[in-house]
Amino acid sequence: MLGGLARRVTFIDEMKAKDGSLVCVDSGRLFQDPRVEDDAEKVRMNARLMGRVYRRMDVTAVNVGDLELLQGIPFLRDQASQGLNLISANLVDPSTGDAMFPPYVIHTVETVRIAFLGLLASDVGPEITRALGNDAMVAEPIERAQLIVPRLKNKADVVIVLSCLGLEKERELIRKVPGIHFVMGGKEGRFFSKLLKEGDTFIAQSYWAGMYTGRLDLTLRDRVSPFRDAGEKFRIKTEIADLNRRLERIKNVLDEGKNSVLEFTLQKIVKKREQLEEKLESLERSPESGNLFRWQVVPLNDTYREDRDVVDWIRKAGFTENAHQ
Amino acid sequence: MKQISERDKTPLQYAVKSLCLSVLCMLLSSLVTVPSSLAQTVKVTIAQTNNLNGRLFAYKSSG
Repeated sequence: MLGGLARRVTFIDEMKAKDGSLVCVDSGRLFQDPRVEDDAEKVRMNARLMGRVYRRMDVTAVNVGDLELLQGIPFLRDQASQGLNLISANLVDPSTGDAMFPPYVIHTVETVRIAFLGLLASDVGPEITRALGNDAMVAEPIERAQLIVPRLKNKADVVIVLSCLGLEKERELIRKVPGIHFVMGGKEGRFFSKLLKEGDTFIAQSYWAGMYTGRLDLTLRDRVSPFRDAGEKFRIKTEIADLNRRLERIKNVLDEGKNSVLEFTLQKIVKKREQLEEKLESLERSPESGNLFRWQVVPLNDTYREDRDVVDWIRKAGFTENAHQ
Repeated sequence: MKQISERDKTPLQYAVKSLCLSVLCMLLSSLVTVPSSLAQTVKVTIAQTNNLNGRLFAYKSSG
C-alpha cells in the first residue's frame, strides 16, 4: 500500500510534531485531469476535497499547474479566498499583466528567509485556453522569472522554484536566471533518489499520484555559500561497495574459464570504481563547511495510519475505493 | 591651551558634523543590512508533493 490523502495528512502531522520548522509545498498538478474523466462534477468535487485537505495540512505554497487551470480562474480564486495558498509568477491578467495570485511567498525559519516562486509552462493546449477565457493568460515563464528572481536577492536567503515546467525547461530556466538554489518540479512525475544538478542549482521530483513525499533537509550556516549534497559521500561509498561485490562475482566466474565479455565488463567496473574513489577522496579532503542539503523520497506506506477526519471527508464526498479513484 | 578662533570654528564644526553623520549612517546600515553569516546553524525541512492528479486512495501495489 502506497500513498493516499488520509495517510499523507498523518505523515505531515507526524513530521510537524517532530520538527517545528517543517514547510510543506506542492509543485502543481494537484487536481485531477478532467480530460480523462467522464464526470466533470466529480472532478470538481475532487478538486474541492484536495483543496480542503491541503488547507488542513497548512501547505505554505501550492503552485498553479496546468491541471489547476482546467478548473478555471473563478474556482481557483474561490479556493484562494478559502485559504489555499496558490502561487504563480506567470499566470497573469491579460489586460494589466499583473499576477493573478502571489508570484511567490517568503517563509522565515528563525532568521533564514526562504522564497517559493511558482512557474508553469506557457505552451498550454486549447482546453486550457478555453478554460481561462479572458480571465487570465500564461506568460512566458523564463521572462517572468528574469524579472522577479533578481528582486528576491535582498528579500530571501534561499530561492526555491516550484515548477510545473518540465525538466528541459527547468534546466533552461536555471541557465538563464541566476540566483535559484533549488527547483522542485515534477511535471513528468519521475522518481529522483538523488537530485539532478545544473550549475550550482539542484532539481527535485518526487514521483506521482502521491505515493511518495519528497523531503529536503537544509542545513544553513551562512547566507552566501552554495549548497552541497550531504548524502553524496555515503552514496559513493555504497556504490563502491556494490561495485566490489560485482567484481568479486565476475572474478569467481573468470577463475573457472576465459570469457571475453566478462573481462570487458570487469575492466569497465574497475574504471568506474577508480573514478568514484577519486571523487570520494576529493570530498574527504574538502572542509565540512558551507550549506548542506539532504534529499529523500519517503514512501507513504502502511506505517502511517489514515487520518480519520480525512477518511470521513472523502467518504461524505461520495468517493469510494472501488471507483476509479 | 590654544584658543580656537571664530575663523577655525566653522571647519571644526563641519568635521564634527561629518563624523556624527557617518557614525549615524553606519548604525542605520547595520540595522537594515542582513549579515551574511548566521549566528547559529539553522535547519529547515521541506516536504514536497507533485503531480498528485487528484489521487485520493493508496495504491495496493508499488506500481
